[in-house]
Order: sequence, then C-alpha cells, then structure tokens
Amino acid sequence: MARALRQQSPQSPLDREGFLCPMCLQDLGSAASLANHFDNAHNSTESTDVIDQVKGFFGKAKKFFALEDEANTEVTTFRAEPVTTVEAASSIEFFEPQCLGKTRNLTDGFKSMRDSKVDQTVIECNKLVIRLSKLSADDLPEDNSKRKAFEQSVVRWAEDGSVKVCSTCGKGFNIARRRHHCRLCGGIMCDKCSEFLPLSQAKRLTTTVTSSELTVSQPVFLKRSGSNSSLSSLGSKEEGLALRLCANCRKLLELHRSKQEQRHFVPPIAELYQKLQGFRSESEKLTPQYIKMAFSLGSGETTYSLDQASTSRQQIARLYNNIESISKKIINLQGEEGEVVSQTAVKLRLHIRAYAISYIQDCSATLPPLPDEKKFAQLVREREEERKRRVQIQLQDSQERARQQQQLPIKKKAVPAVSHSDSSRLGQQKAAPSGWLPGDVDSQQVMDDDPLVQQMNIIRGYLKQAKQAEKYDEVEMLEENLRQLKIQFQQQ
Amino acid sequence: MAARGASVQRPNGASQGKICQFKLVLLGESAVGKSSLVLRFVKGQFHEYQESTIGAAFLTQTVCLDDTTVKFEIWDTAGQERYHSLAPMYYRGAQAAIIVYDITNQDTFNRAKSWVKELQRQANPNIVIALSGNKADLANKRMVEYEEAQAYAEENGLLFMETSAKTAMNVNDIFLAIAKKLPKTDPGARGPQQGAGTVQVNESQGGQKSGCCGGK
Repeated sequence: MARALRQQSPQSPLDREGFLCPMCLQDLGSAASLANHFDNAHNSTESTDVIDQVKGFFGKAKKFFALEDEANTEVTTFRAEPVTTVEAASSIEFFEPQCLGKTRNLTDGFKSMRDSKVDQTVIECNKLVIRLSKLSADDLPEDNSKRKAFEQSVVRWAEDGSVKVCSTCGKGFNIARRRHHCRLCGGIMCDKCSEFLPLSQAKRLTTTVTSSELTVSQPVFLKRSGSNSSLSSLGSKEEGLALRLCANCRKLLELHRSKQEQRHFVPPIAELYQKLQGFRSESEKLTPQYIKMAFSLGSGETTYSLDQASTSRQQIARLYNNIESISKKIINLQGEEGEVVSQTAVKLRLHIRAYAISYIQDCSATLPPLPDEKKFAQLVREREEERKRRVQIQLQDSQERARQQQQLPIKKKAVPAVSHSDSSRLGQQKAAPSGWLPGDVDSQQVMDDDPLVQQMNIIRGYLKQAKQAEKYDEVEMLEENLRQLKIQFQQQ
Repeated sequence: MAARGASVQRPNGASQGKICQFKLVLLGESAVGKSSLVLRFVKGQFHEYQESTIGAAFLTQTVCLDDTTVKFEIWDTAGQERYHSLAPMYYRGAQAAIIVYDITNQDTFNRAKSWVKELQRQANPNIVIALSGNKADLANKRMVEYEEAQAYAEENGLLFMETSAKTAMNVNDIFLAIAKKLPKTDPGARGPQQGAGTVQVNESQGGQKSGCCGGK
C-alpha cells in the first residue's frame, strides 16, 4: 500500500500540506469537505486499506525517530528517499549492543534533600498551627485595637514601608489597593489576594482530627466575598469571624489538614482486611475446640453432645463464608471506584483473595467430620463394652494377685528344698520375686551432715521395718552392720 | 567359670539342702544403674526415674543353685562422692562385689577400674568381683566397647557381663554366675576378721565343712 502511495506521489508527504485525503492525497480545502469526501469515496469499501496505510505511516514515523540521532545527512537522505526495510534493520542493529555506562546512586542525595524539605515544611506548618491556636483562643479581646495588638503579639507584622508590591499578585499598593497583613506570618498582601479562615474552622484545624468528626471535602476557607465587604473588612464583623491569611499560609494549612485526614483515613481495603482477620482469628479460636469435640465424639465419648459439636461446626462454616465473601468484596473494590487502580493494589487484592481461599481450603480440609447419630450411638456402645471389658480384666488381675500373695509364704518355705541344675530355668523361676528390701526411710529423719550418722539412721529405719516384717535373718544382718557403723563412728 | 561352679557341686550329692549366705556389695560411679540393677534382681521391677541412693541401701535375695540355696545380703552403695567413705565398711566384709559402669559413658568405666584396684588392695583377697556394663539397651550410644571391657576383666580375673536393668538382660545371670563362683563351704574364704559375723550357716554346718571341696 505504502509503495503504491509513493508511486502516486513521487514527492514526500511532507512536501504538501492542507486538507489532504489520506487515500488519494487530494487537497479538499476544508475539514468538512475532507470528511465528506472520505466518507463517500473510501469509507466502507476500503476501511482495511485505511488502517494499513495509517500503520504504514506510523511505521515510517517510528523509523524516523529511531534514526533521528544519527548524522543529519542521513536523516535528510532518509527523508528524501524512503528507506527499505533491510536498511532500517541494519541501522537499528547499529544501536543495539550498548552496555550500561558508569552509574551513580543518587538515592541518598535525594533522600537528604527531601528530608530537609519535609522538615522545613513541617516546622513551618507547626509554627502556623501554634499561632493559629493562639489566635483562635476563646478569650480574644473584643476591642479591635486591642485585638490588633494581640495579633501583633503573636506574630510580628511586617513594616508597611518595607513592602512595595503585593507578594502574591505583584501589583503596587496605593489608596485603592491597600496593604493587608497575614495574621499568621505577618506578611503583606493586597485585599484581593487575601484568604479568610473562619474562626470556627481555625479551632478545628488546631485540634487533632479524629476519624469520627472528619468530614471529607468540607470547605474550610471562605471565599472572598466581593470587594464591598472586603473594603470594610478591617474593622467589620467579618474580621471577627475570620482570620486574614496569605496564600502561602493557606496552602500550608491545607497541607496540614490533608495530612491529618490522611493519617485518620482508613482505605476500604484495610477496613475489609481487618474484618477478615477478625473472622480468621475467631475461627482459629473455635477450630481447636471443635477438633477436640470431634475427636472426643469420634471415640465414642459423651463429654460433648453431638448438637454442641454441630453448632460449633456451623459457626466455623459461617466464619469461612464470611472470610470468603469479604475476600470477594476486596477483589471487587476496583469495580466500585471510578479511579484508576495501580498495579500493586490489584496484586494486593489478588493475593488477599488467594490467601483467603487457601486458608479456607486448608482449614476445611483439616476439620474432622462428625459421626452421624446412628454411628455415634454405635461408637458409644462400643466404648461402653470396651470399658466393661477392661474392668473385667482388672478384676481378674487383682484376684490373681491376691491368690498369688496367699500362695507366696508356702512357696518361700519350699524354696530351700527345690533344686535346679539348669541355670537358665533357675533365672526364669526367679522372676517370682522372693527378695526383700526395706521401704524408703523418711528422709527428714535421715538427714545429717555426716554420711556415717546418716547411714546409721537409715539402718535403724531398715531394722524397724525388718522387725515388722519378721525378717529375722535381715534383722541380724542389719544389727551387725549397725554395730560396725557404731565402731567406725567411735573411731572417728 | 559358671561351668566350674556347677561341676564342683554336682558330684557332691551329700551337701543337699544347705543354705549359704553371702554379703555382696555394689560399687560404681553414680547414675550407672546400681540400684536399678539390684531392684531388678530383687523385685523384678524397673523405675525409669530411680532416685539417687543415700548412704547404702540394703536388700536380700535368695537364689537356688543346684542343691544349695544362696542368700544374698546386698548392699547397694551410693555412687556419689560424699558417700565414698562408707564404701570400705561394706566391701571389707563382702564375699562378692559387682562393679557397675555405664556403657554409654567412658568415665564410669575408668571409675570402675579404680574401684577394682581399690578392692584388690583393700578388700577380702578372695572376694569375687563381677564387672557389669550396664545400660546395654542403649547400645547405639555405646562409648565403651565390649571387647575392651572383656579384655580388662580377663586380665584382672573378673566376671564380666553387659547387663540392662531396663530389659532385665543378664541381670539374674550375673548374680547367678557370682553365686556359682562363690565358695559354698570354705569358711576360710571369708575375710578372717568379719567371717563369723557375715556368714550364717544353717543346722547342717558340720556336714558342709566336711563334704565340700570348696571350689578352689
């Protein structure tokens, strides 16, 4: 197409100007007639051609800009003669292999500059707010002259003679354009450039804004109310209601207010996310309780009722539903607002949604199922049987033990008579304990610094026990030991 | 050694029904399992958290060996250093000693060696000493090789077994081996000074004296 066009008009398109038809390059003279001509001659039949041609133009333009940095001569030749695609490719290649040169990190410099700027603004702002709070105090002097003195005591007013022109509009002062002082910075401007801050608003600016009383986009500053009132403003009622400010102070105060608003403004996504987290923590509190219940019920215990568990399960399910719907709301936030949503905000929403879904999936997967009523009844029965069985076994055990204890003395008497040649069998037989050991002796009695005394106490305790158990052999052994201990003790 | 004990006794049919009583002392570093070992032997029990012994604990147990009933008077001494002064009182009159070490702790083996030395110097010269490598159930944490301990035991003429109070492995066996090795009739085998006090012989004392070859 482009080629055909060039054949039609050997000169470059830049050589002609006017209301040219893009298709046939006819000069139509006016915009209306061009539109008319285009609609009639080219519209329906050749719409694709138009697009192709426009594309051709754009392609050319791109090439043009790509080559613009080259030598001028080359540009001119390019203008004169259309460049073929091969040439263009080669010339683009010429630019491609470029490596990054020396780099320098300017972040620190930027930060320090920004910080100093921010500091300055903040200090300035604070100064203004402090003055404003003084000026908007309740016990303002009624009398005008006194008030003026008071205002001047808050901030020193600039000398009238030092300022020749209004600092905002730059116009000279005369009788018609009088000097006015900004009550916050003491600077001088003309009446037209003055701003007025109502005292009621001033109070609001100085007190910290809380989210409840915050009303977005409420007009704070009064509009200048015509020249008539402004002429009489110096001593009029209006002055009593509002403070005269310069444009700069107003800007700073507005900045201060917007900052405060920002501080208390919770974006809807944060609000929703907080709600979501609330539901999540609630479900995390409930889930272990439910799991405990489910396990208890699953093993046939009757500590919890089935109803209790199922209501708990429903509660948890409701929480999951809430989490789900909130995450959906979060992802749909972009639709509600007309403003452009940044890439990261979209990403954040998607992540929250993905997190909510995976949380619900994970949790509901680990939630154990409840037995239905029939199954539960069966489990309870089984457990009851198991319990009975165990009781039975224990009963048998205790009976068995009682029997053994009865037999024990007989066995003991029999011991000396029994003889075994097989040592391993002897070991097994020994499993029925025939040994004796005294119980623990009260450690309070035993305690003594001297191990020997301690041991004598222990032996005395043993002796008592041995006598009680009628173990006369043992009594003799212990008495012998006690004797030795005493000898040892005397030798010390 | 066990075989020797058995061969000694078997031909001697005349000495049936005699009761021998022996004093046995347990020695070793603290927490190697002396009390556990003896509790397993006497009561067949095992406590995971056995309290540390104060002074010396006293236990008795009877074992039947062929035609002899051997009653052990067991003195389980405390392993803690402050009770070390009590130990000589107990091993001086003892016919047998079990020196216990913990196979998972090399230091306790070294301490066991020093106990052996002490016994060899100061105890009854005929004392039967057994070396017990306890906690054999913890073989995966072993720090003392079986071969090393066995070689040492052979060198010094000790009975040697690795035991486990927890699993009851070799517990009865080590006491039985000691019972077999002990001289059943020879009163001279006891320490001359404490002999009368520590060994009690039943009504067939006279028969014992004449009838046994003493195992030596």
